[in-house]
Amino acid sequence: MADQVTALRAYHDLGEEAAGSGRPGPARVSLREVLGFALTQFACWPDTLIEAGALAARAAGCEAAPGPGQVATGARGRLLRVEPLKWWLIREAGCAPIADMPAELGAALELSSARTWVRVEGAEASRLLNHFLPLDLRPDAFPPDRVASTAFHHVGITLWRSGGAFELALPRSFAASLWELLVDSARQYGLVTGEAAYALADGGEK
Amino acid sequence: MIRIPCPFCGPRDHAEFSYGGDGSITYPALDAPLEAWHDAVFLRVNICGRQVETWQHVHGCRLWLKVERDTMSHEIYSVTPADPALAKVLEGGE
Repeated sequence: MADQVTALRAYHDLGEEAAGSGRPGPARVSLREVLGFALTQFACWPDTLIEAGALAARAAGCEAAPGPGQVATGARGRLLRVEPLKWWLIREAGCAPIADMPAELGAALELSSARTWVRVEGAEASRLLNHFLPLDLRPDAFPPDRVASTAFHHVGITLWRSGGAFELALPRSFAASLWELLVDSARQYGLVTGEAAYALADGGEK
Repeated sequence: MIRIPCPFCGPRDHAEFSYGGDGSITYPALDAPLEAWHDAVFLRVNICGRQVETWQHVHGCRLWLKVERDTMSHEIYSVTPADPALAKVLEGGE
């Protein structure tokens, strides 16, 4: 597997910025690029949904493939149902490649370098995201292990919730631009930026 | 602002969707006379009221949808996947 390409290498180390006037205290938003993950897409046909879902679940170590808008965590990875006929499997970088799927069943596609993963956390995380996203991000409407695709400044992105964090999968070619929008808007809350290493653990990849 | 209840994603802002035009048109055969294609493509009725439209949830699940909508009130009466095979997948409840 080739080394993962990141669009944000030059943007990580902004340090901590104090909030603007009127909001003293520590940073209320953190933005971190998550590195060291592998992303594989499983796509199938309408009449192979169950079989392909079972294959994806086995690859993740889950009991069953998640339904629409759901995330399932298994022993080997995290499985996201992102479209009617597609799942995304997130695993540790460098893990064994997915065996080729028979064309009659579907297709497995390596997407690791196609997406840049940004983790948004902090007391004002959902408020910051709602400057851009037309989604109800309150915990009862978008609880942990929910996944959604939506538009961020006219760019299609995918996000899910793991524990208290929002995880954003941004198309790599737009990642720097969207990151700058997030940083500029987060300055009013005070922010800290940096990197995080992917690790599959209970409650989220921390 | 229109909210469209996507069969896969749930209710979403119409900014996530792309309008695909009149969903009630039956297009002619590929070898049909030019006049038939002209009529199908260009001669449209500007309906005031309930009509069937196609929309794609382009920034969501990417499904093409048939949306029954009132052009005056924006009330939405029904939303179904345009592809019957995908409708069956979603109705199956996994």
